[in-house]
Amino acid sequence: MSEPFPPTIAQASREIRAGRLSPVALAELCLARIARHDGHLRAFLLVDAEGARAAARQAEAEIARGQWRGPLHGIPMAIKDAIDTAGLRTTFGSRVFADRVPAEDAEVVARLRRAGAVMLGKLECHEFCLGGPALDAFAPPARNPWNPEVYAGGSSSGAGVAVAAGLCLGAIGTDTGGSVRIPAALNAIAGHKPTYGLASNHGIHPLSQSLDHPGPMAWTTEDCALILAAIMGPDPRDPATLGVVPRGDVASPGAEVKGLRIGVVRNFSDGPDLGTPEVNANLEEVAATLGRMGARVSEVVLPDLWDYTVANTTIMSSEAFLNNAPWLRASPEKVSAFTRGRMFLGSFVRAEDYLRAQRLRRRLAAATREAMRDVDAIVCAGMLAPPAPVASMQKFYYLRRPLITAPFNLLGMPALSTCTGFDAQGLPMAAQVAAPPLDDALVLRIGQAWESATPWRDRRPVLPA
Amino acid sequence: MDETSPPRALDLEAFRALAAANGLRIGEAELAELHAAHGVLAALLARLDAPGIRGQEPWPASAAEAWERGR
Repeated sequence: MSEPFPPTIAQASREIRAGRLSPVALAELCLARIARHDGHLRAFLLVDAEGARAAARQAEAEIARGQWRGPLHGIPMAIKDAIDTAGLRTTFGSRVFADRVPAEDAEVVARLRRAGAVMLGKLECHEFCLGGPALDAFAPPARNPWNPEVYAGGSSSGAGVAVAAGLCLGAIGTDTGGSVRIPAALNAIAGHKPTYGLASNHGIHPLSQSLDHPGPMAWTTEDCALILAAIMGPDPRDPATLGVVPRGDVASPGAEVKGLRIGVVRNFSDGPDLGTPEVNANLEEVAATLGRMGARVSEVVLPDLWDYTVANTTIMSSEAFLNNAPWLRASPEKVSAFTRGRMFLGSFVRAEDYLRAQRLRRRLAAATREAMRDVDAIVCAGMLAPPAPVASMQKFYYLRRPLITAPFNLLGMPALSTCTGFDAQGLPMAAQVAAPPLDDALVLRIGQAWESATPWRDRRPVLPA
Repeated sequence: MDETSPPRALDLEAFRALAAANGLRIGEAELAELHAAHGVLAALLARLDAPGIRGQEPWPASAAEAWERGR
C-alpha cells in the first residue's frame, strides 16, 4: 500500500510547531513517495535525499529549541530546474547545461532556505522554459498524474506534477506566458503568478525579462500565500523588483468574498475558436458560486485575447532568442527540435514589431484598467481546452490559439489559477483570478474563499502502485 | 504597417538568407517548417498595425507604475 498524501503546508506547519509532526518524518514521507512514484511521473530531475534529510534534522532541532522560523520551517519543497540552487545541478532542462552546478542560490531559493524550508531537489522543466513538451529533450516531459498520456502543462511541468502527486508540499515555478498557471490548471493545484517585480528573478535563467515571474505552486491557495510571503521583497540584484509592499496581508489574506466586486471575463473564452462549451459552462458555474458566496458579480469585457497574446508572443520570442542565442548558434544540435524552432522564430521578429508590441502593451494596460474600473478583481477561465495527448502536440501549436494566461504576464498583474472541477474525462478544470498590480492578497483571498467553499481540494489523483 | 516598412512575410529564399544572416545553422526540412510558422506569425503581427499604437508611450519597467500613471 502506498504512503498517504502529505498534509498541506498550513496543516503541516501547525503540527510541526506544536511538536506533533516531525520534519524528519515529513521529509521521509516525501522521499518515500518520490521513490515509489517518480519513476513513472518523471517530475524530478534530481533528488537530494541526503541534503533534505540534513535540513529536516536541522529544522527539527531548531524547533525543539524554540527557534521556529515561520510557516515554512521544516516543510519539504522542490524547485524548478530553471532556478539556481547552490551545489545542486541546475540544467534549465537542456543538455547544453547538463553538468552545470551553480555556486550560489537564486534569491527566491535563498529566501526559502532562510525560512527553514527543506529542499528535496530539482523539478523537470521545459527546455529553457520554452521548449516542451519535447520528447527529444534532455529530460522527457513529466507525466500528468490525472492521465499520463495527456500534457501536464509547462514549462513548470515537474512542479505541477510533483505537487499534485504529493511528492512535495510546495514548489517554485516561473511564469512568462502561463508557466506556473498552466501546469497548476492541468494538475488541479493552485499556482500564483505574483505582481511583476514582487519576487526576484536573480539566479533564474531568463526567458523574457519583462515578462518573467517566479511564483509559488502548492495544493492550496493558502499554501501559495505562505510561500509568496517568504519569497517576495526587493532585491538589489534584480533592478525590476519593487520597493513597495503589496496591499493587504499576503501571508494571511483571509477567505471571504462577501461584498467584493468580481468581474467575469467571458469574452476571453466565449467565442469562435476560443473555449470549449465545457470550459464556458464551468466559468458560469464559478460565477454563480461566487455570487452565492456573497460576491457582487458582474460582467467585464476586456480587449480581444489575441491582442494580449500577440504582444506577449512578440516580446517573449525576441527576448528569448537574445537570451539563448550563444548556444543556439554554437551548438544547435544539443537543443531539442521544439526549443530550437521556437527560439529561432524569435530571431525573425523585427525591431519595429518588438517596439510596437511594447506600445500595444501600454494601450492594453490602459484599456484593461478602464474596463476594471468598477470591480475589485476579475475571474476568467484557466485554460481554453483540455490538455492534448503529448504525442500529438505540434512544435508551433501556440501560434494557432490565443493564450488565456498571457494577459497577466503582459500587464504584470497578480493572477492565480485554482481548480474549479473536473471534466467529463476526469481531467482538472481551472479558473484564474486576477487583480490590479500589488493586489496579490486580494487574489489569494478570493482563491482561498473559493477552495473553502468547494469540494475540489478533497480529490487527489489515483497513482499507479 | 507603415508604407515605408518592408513586408513581414518573406519568400523562402529571402527567409533562408535572413536565417543565415542571423547565424542560424538549420537543415532544409527545418527551414521549410520554420518558414511556414513565420508566415503564421507574420499574419498575427498585423494586429500591431492597428491605429493608435504608434502614439502610445513605451512600456515602463514597473507594471505598478504603468497602472498608476494611467489614472
